[in-house]
Amino acid sequence: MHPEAAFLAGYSFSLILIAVGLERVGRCSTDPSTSRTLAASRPPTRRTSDLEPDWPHSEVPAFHLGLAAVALAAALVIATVSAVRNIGPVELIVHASLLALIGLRIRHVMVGYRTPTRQHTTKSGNEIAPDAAR
Amino acid sequence: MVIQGGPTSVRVRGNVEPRAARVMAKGWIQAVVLVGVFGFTVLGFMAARTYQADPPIPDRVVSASGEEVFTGEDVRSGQEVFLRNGIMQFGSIFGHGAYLGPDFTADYLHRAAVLVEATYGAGGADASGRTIEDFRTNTYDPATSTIVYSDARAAAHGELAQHYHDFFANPAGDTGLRPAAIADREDTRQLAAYFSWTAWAASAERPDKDYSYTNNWPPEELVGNAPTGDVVVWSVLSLIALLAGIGALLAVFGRWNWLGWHGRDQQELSFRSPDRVALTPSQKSTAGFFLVMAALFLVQTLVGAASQHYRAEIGGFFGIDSDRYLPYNIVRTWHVQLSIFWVVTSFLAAGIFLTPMIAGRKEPRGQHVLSNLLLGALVIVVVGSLLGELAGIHGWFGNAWSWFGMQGFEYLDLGRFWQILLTIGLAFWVVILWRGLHSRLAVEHRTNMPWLFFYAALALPAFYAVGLLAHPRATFAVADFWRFIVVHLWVEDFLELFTTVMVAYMFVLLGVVRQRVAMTVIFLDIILYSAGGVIGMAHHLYFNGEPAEVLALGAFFSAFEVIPLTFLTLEAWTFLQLGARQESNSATSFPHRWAVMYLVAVGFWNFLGAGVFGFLINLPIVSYYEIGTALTANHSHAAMMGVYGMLAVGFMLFCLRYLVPEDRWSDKLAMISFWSLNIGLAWMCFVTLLPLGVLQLHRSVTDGYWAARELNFVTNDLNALLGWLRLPGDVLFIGGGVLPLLWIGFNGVRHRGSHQDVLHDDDLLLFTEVSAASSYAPDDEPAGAR
Repeated sequence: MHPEAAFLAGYSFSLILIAVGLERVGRCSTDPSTSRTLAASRPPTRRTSDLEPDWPHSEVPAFHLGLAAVALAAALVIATVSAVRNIGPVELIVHASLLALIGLRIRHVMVGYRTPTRQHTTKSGNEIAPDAAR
Repeated sequence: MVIQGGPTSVRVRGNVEPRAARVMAKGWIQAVVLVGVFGFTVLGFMAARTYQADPPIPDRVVSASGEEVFTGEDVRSGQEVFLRNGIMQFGSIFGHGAYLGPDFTADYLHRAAVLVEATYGAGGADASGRTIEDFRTNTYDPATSTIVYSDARAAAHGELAQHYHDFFANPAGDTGLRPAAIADREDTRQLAAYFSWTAWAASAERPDKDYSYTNNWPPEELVGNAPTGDVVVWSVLSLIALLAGIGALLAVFGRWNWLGWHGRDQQELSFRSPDRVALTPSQKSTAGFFLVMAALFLVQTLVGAASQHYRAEIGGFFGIDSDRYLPYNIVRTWHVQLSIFWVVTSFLAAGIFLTPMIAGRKEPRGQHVLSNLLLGALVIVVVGSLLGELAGIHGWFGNAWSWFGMQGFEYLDLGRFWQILLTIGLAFWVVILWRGLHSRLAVEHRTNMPWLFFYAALALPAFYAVGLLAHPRATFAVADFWRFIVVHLWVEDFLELFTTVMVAYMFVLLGVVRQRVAMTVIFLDIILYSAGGVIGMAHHLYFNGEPAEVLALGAFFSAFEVIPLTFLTLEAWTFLQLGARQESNSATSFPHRWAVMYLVAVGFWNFLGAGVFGFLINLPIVSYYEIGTALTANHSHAAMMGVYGMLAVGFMLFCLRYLVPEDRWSDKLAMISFWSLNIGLAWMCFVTLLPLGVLQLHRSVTDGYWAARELNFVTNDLNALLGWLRLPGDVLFIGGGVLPLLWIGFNGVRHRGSHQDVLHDDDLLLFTEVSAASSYAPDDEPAGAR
């Protein structure tokens, strides 16, 4: 495999890994009232586990999915450039696999973004539209 | 019960006003003083060693057969030619400067070594050994102040003088410099002498040492330059210091839960709507600053894009011979200078804006006149210095070039006249703050928050003035030491300190945190910055002619710089939560969501840009191979824009939130700007700068540093393509990130007069506290209670 193709494919793959990592981090709860990780800093009086998290915790999945989308877009651009510049049997297989993987991850991100998991609550617990909360 | 928030000191309107009690315990103050004294003592030691151990410039360099090759005067004049033509903003010397052109130390050294080895019969072991001996033997005689070159080396110098003349005098250009940039043969002869001297310092062994004046930098097999024991050992110790420091930080946070930003739990605040907060005339005058700031930011990004374009298309701009009018070294100079100017403009304005709120009373008469004068002076300095730099490289100022033209040190490019004016302007700004604050300072303990704000402001002109010690005729190591007092100590430490105090004050004024909590954070930051940042400045000085002990101190202490950056990352979420919590408690919405979001971005980029990308190149063994490559640019963009840029925009939005009427304010524009700036910056780093830097690092390790900096390599197909790939990110950054700020800034100026004036001191308050069920002690609790 041509060194340039190996470098660009490897770099592109590392961006995909970053995107996967960001998606997973985005799925973890950051709200001290519900997160096991942050249990130590949980305010003693707060019992809101039955409610959707407040801002900024409510934005966490979208925020991380957005960052993951940027990383995937960068991976897509670099992998495409590498595929155009390096044409050979091995390179073809590597780039095709890489582009397919990027496609799958982009689809995954888009599905995750469309899923209506983001809700905001007022102090009294009433739900309000995301735009109004912003 | 209703308690009015805001300034907390006792106000007695009479002849005798008792000072408020000290808020912080004595131990904190003693710790700050001790760490500060230690840091600056070591800095003084390093300054002394810089003067004692920098590579000597001889009176004469002669060949073994006795012919004069060049003189010490040629070397000094060559440095002046290098600076006044802005070559440090094209390529670099000792690894310091711009990244498009070659590093002239490494370039000369490699070319000379190839020529000398060819003279000795290239390919044989004997030729290689003789070449290494030729370069490593230190022939400097202090008694006669003479260096002796072998005849082979003297002959090589003659050839290289012609090579550099051809390079700089080339009428076709195609280098990024203007065509025939330096056509005068005497100038290019002196320039070649300067390059030759730097190559001598990079290869000749220090007296009684087995490494060169530059700690064997650059890596060059032909002259036997390889990493020294110090470079490797201090890299390992630097890593250990980092791990131990971060572990200690986390342990301290776990042990003492009261460290860091803690909100005023269980209290209900009512944020005053920005429309209801009255503004003083000087506060209204800051709208002009923010419009100028946004305009400078726009110009900075445009010339930055132009400088990047030279990497993708070296000959010009989409077929236009732009190098004739705006060559790379000019657009890069403007890009670098404006990065400081627009950020500082925002900080100056934010300082003026916060002053009446900190003072808690109406301002003295004429404060806005002084503020407007400062803005006018600032515009004159910015425009004058930038045009002076353009005129300077054309030689229009004659012998006064360093005063009005291009002084040429990267980041200190502006002429000394403009540099002095800027220092005076900063001092004038401190006077404006003093006028606004002195009534409050008179009733505060000298270690309380208003005084910290004033001390932090006072440090800005004081440390910027140190840059005047970097003189064009000083030896490079000496000039570079003082240059980095500005680039590192002023920018990375004192601006950081000032911003920490400003952010803390913003939260205190909003009632989000108690003064004691804010002060704990400030004192902790001062201790951490002083421990790492002051001595850590030496991480810029590994290979520019400083002795090995400076390298050791820089490597070890700069690792501690990452620790406060980690600390700031921990703070980032807290900033968000502070705003969110108060918003959920307040009947009125928290008005600064997007200003706070910018602070969160600061935390993120501080960790990634300054911490991760910075530490990536901080270890001496990594810096040895990568200095001056795109990895450095990757760090500087992520850290300078990511931290100071985002802070400057955050301050702008905080202040303009009050200056722009509610019905004209657009959170949507702020949101678009926020995401565009962040995504554009991330794109810039991850699509172009980081991969480019990795490619250069690989080439540097495998083929030599000179090869990684060669113009042909930097502008080859792949690198140019990576440069082109940056385009979408840059367009988003400028179009989506900067233009909305310009519009918001314009609205600030347009509507600044519509705001109500301050009639009573309480008009300046930003919140009202409607419940006081806090478990926290009040601010004026006697010191030492904790």
